[in-house]
Amino acid sequence: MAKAKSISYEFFKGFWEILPPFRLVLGLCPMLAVTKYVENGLGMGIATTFVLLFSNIIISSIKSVIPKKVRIASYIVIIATFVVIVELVMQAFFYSLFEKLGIFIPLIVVNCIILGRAEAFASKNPIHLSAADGLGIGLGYTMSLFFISAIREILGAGTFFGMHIMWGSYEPFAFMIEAPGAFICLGLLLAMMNLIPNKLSGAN
Amino acid sequence: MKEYIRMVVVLTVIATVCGFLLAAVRKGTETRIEEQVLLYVQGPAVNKVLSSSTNDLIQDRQEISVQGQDYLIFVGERNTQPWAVAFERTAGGYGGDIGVLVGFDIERDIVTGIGILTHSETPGLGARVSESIFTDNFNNKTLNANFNVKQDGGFVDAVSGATISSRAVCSAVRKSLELYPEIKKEIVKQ
Amino acid sequence: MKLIVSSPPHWHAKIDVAKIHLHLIIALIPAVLFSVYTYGIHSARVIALAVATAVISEILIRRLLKKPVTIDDGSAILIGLLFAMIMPTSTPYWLVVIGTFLSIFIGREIFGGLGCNPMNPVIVGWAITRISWPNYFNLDLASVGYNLDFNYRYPLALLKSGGVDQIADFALIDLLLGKQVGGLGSAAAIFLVIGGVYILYRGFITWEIPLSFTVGVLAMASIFWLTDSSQYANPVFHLLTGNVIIGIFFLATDFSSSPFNRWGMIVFGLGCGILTIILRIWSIYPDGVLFAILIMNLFTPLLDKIHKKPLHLEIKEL
Repeated sequence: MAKAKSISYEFFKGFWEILPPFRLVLGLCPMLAVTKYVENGLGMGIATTFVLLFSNIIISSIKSVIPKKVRIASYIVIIATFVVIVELVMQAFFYSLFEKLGIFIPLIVVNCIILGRAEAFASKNPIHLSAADGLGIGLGYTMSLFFISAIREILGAGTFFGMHIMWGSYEPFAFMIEAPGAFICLGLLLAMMNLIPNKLSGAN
Repeated sequence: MKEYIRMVVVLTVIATVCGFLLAAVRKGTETRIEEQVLLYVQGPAVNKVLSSSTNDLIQDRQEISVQGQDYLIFVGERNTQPWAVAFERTAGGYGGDIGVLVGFDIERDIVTGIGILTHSETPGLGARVSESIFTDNFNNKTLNANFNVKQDGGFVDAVSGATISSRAVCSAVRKSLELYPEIKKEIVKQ
Repeated sequence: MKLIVSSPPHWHAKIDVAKIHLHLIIALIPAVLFSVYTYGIHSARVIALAVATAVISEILIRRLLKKPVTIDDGSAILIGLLFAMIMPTSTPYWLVVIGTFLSIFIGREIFGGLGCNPMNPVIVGWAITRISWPNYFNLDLASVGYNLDFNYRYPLALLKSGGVDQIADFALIDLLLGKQVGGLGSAAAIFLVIGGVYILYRGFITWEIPLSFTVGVLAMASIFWLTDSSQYANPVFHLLTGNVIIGIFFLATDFSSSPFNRWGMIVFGLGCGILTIILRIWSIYPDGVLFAILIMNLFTPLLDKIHKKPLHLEIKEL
């Protein structure tokens, strides 16, 4: 890594430079599955951020004692623990959100972003940087989920956080909240995200 | 060899610590989750089948023991007099157990209605047993009615394409019918 | 063996793409005229709007992506025209605009323009709008308010909801003559056949897909019909209703989304026909033609792999 490792760099890179899932094309399953409504997308993003932050901190702090051969098993145990904690807490305090996200909460365990950051970053870097990385990537991911679910909910249902915001005679573009709509929406956004830096570098 | 021992020790320690952590969190959230489940899962169903009650059904839930087994029952009251009771029985469906809440009017001895609490049936097929178009089949039926799907000679319109799930619901209702006289006795005693 | 790989359309090296499209549009004219004759200004409105939107969308998208504008090859006009043909006459203007735009944008330009689309762009646009606004695709409602001299119910919807008894009073000759409710152009069976035979005769499409598609529909429908004719409609009814005829000649034969070797095309056509009947009988949609073609489009790369000597036959390479 050529760039200086500062906390602010590690934190902010998650918002643009390797923004998941657009730049870091990981974590696509929840992105496609739970972004029908903004509430679900945001809930999923925050849950993922929580898991990512704590698994990064724990893994980074015990990285020297984990033997290389069993590192993935150890990471998964730690990640799974935090996922179950999120599940229980969500069930206890946000039951309606828990009902909507359902099976996708336990599936955070296999979200590639989390294991990916543990393996690629937390296992090689000190705690404070890992925490910044986890929080940055997590919030970046939340931001992406919010963005894509806002597009899908506004176009597909004519609502935003469940409130009607389109004009009265608006006929919801129901395709957007169906599964194929998610793929096409994601594809178009990915294309746009690739177009913007190309334009910027072209202008310079 | 030393490496192997280290691997075993590290993994064991991590798993143990995680296990304790989870147990603690579970212990801490247990009562709260139970309340939430009652409120969000059983609440709507109970309020539907015992709809003309004047008391808070969830708050007044009680556990009673019949023939050595404990059952969670919801007693509906009108003018502080118990008039109806609802409780859950399960039966094996297509994808797992289906939990069916059955409400009984203890004054007139009829089934007031049913609600599906838990199920893991196929969405769009078996899962449609929880829709009111199916559960309304059971509204205000006398106890000696034939609680079976029409193919089996009963009065229940099965959800098309989901006979197994529909049968399971009927069988859970029949189980409640068996239990009902005992539970009624207990309530009347009180 | 040396294989020459290039992206379709590629036969008829001496004829340019613009000419093919021009003749395909000419072939559609009888059906367009019939539709305007039957439904009047409403039909003309949808067709004009779809064609205009298709052309404008292509210009805008190409300008935005800084690619050469190829509007003079006529492909955008053809997409707009075909899209209008499979829509009901009562389609609101915004739905025509959105659908045509999606056909051009999602169906074709995203994949790189003419010749690169993996699925028929017209059907992509249709499918997206069909899923989003199913109410506007109720063909029974589309015929309300017209003074029609034939049964104003959509035959396939009747078959789906009421069974085979309901369709007894549709004479096959009426269905053939276009005296039926359907998409504004796709109901005009005989006029589409005339157009289809013209482009076949002139060699703008080859015979494999139309023939095998027809055989697929008839064979699959016959299997059901012969097992229980009191429950399933007769094969000719299936062939003449809905979007089958327009699918056979104009949609399934789209150059870049159908296979380019003989056996591939035959399997493709049979698949379309069989799936059409399966979808009509078992799916929730009254007509399955367009979904069938869409599904088979996805098999095209696989079918393109069929080369010489399938079934141990000696065949000529195209």
